[in-house]
Amino acid sequence: MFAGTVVLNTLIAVAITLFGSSSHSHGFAVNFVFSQCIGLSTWALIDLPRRRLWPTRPSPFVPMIAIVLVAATVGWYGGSLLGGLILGIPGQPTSIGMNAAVGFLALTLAAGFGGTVYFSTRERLAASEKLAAEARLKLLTAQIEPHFLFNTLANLQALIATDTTRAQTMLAHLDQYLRASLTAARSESATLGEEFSLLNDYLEIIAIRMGARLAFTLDLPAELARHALPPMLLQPLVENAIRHGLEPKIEGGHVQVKAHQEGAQLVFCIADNGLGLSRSASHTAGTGLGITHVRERLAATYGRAARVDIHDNPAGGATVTLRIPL
Amino acid sequence: MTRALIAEDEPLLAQSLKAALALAWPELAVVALAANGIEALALIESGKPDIVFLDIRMPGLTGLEVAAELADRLEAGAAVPRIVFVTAYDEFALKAFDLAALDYLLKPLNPMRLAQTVTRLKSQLAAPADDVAGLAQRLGQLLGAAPAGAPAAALSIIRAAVGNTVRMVEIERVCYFQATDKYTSVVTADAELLIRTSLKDLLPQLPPEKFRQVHRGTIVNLAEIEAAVRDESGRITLKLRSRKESLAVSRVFGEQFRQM
Repeated sequence: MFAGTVVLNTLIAVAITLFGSSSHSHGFAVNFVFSQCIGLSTWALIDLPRRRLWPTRPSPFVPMIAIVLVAATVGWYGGSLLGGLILGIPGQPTSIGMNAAVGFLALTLAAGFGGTVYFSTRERLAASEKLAAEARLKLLTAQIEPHFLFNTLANLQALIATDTTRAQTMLAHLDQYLRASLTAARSESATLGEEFSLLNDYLEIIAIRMGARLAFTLDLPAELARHALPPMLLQPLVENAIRHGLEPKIEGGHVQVKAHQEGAQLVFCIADNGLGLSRSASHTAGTGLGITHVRERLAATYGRAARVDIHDNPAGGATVTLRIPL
Repeated sequence: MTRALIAEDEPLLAQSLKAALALAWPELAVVALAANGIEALALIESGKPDIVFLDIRMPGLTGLEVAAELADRLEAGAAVPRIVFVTAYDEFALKAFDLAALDYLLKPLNPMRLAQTVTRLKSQLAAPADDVAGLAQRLGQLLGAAPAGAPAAALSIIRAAVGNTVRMVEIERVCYFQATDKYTSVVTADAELLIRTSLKDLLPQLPPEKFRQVHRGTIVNLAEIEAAVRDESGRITLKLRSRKESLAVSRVFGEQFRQM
C-alpha cells in the first residue's frame, strides 16, 4: 500500500507540473517533494487509525469518511509545512494564497478518498480470495477417495453374505466416518477428540479391509481431547500412510498416531513401517499431494507458527511430524 | 474342467468373488487365490489356470503389470489365460478396457454383470486360445490410452545429486532412464547418475516425441536407438548409439518397433 501511495503522489506531482497554473508551479522536483510529503502524511493518518480500530475486518463506511476528511486536512497542512522545511521555501502552506490553498486541499481530499476506495477494494478482494482458497482446501480434505468408498462397499457386500454382525460394525464405522467428513467440510474447527474418533473409524474400516496386514494404535492424552484444531487436519496424513506406505507393501504393517504437548506446542506424530518415501513414490502416483494440502492449510490457519516435517524412518517406513501452537 | 485364479489383496473380496463365481458358474474350479501381484504371477506360471481375475490395485505388482509381465514371459505362440480385470474405481475411463477388448468387473460385484462376463468367458473358451502377441498388443493399446493425470510441466534439465554437487544434465544427453530398487538411474554416454523421481512420475514430464517407455523399468531416448533387433521368439532388444549395453523391450511396448 505504501508503494501504491508513492505512485499516486508521483502522478499528482506530474499532473500539477503539466497542468498547474504557472504562479504556483515550481517545476517537477519541487512538486514531487510536496506531493510525497502531503500524500504520505495523509496516507499515514488514514492507515494508522484504520489498522488500530479495525485490525482484522474491513473498515465501516461512515467512520472512514470522517477519518479521511480529518486526515486529508491535517495531512495537507502538515505535509506542506514539512515540504517547505525540506526545500527551504518559507511560509508554506499559507503563503500561496486562499484560492490555491483551497485547490490543493481539495486535491488532497480527492486523492485521499480515491486512494482509500481503491486500496480497500483491493484488500477486500484479497480477503475474499483467501477465503476461497481456504474453502477449496477444506473441500479437498473432506473429499472421499472413490477407491476407498467402493472397496469399502465391496467389503460390506462380502460381509453381508457371510458375517452380518461384522457387516453392521463396519457399516457403523462407515456411517460415522462419512458424517464426520461432511460436518468437517462445513465447520471451522473441531476438537482433537473428534479428529481422533474420525481417525479411529477410518482405520477400523481399513483394518477390516486389509485383514491381518494392518495393525494400528491411536494415542491421545485425555487432557488434550477438548483442544481445538482445523477439522480433518490429520486425516489426509493417516490416509497417506495407508495408501502410499502400507497398502502397497506386501507384508502390510503398523501405523501409529500420537498427540502430545511440548511446551507451548501441540505435536502430532504419524509413524508407519510401510514402504517409506523413496519407494512408495514409484508405486502410487500423487505422493506429496496430501502433505502439500496440509502445509497450505497450516499456513492459512497458523501462518508461520506451525510446521510439518516428513522423513524416512531408519528401520523403514515414514514419519510425519506436525507442530501447531497450543 | 475350467480352472481359475483370483488375485485380490483384500481377503474378504477374494472370498466374495469366489463365492459369487460358485453361484454363477458352478463348474468353474477356483484353484488358487493370490494376495499380491508377485504371488499372482508365480501362481499363474506354475498352475497355468485358464482364467485369471486380476485386481488392478495390488501390492507388489498391479494387475496391469502382472498381465504385461505375463505377456512378456510366455513363449511366443503359447496359450495365454483369459484375463478379467477387477477394479473398485478407475481414474482412466473404463471405456479404454472396452476399446482394447479386455474384460473387467467392478467392485462391489453386480451379479448381472458377473453373469454376462461368465457367458462371454464360456464362449471365448470354446474358441481357440488367445496368443501372446494378441494380448501384448491389447495391453499396449490400454496402457497407451491411459492419460497420466494432469499434464506435467516439461522437463529440460535433470538435476542429479552427486555427493555435495548437483549435476545438471540436459535431457537430450540422457540415453535412457532405468528404474532401480529405490532410485532411478539416469544414463548418459559417459555417466550414470541417480535421482529419486520414479519412472512413473518422470514419464509425463518428458517430451513424448523424444522419450518412450519400452519396458516396465526403462524409458529410452529415441534418438539414441541405433537398431531394434528381433530374435526368433519375437523378443526385441534395442542397440544404442553411445552405450554398449542393449535394452530389452517388453512385448507390451514392442508394437512401436515394427518395420514400417
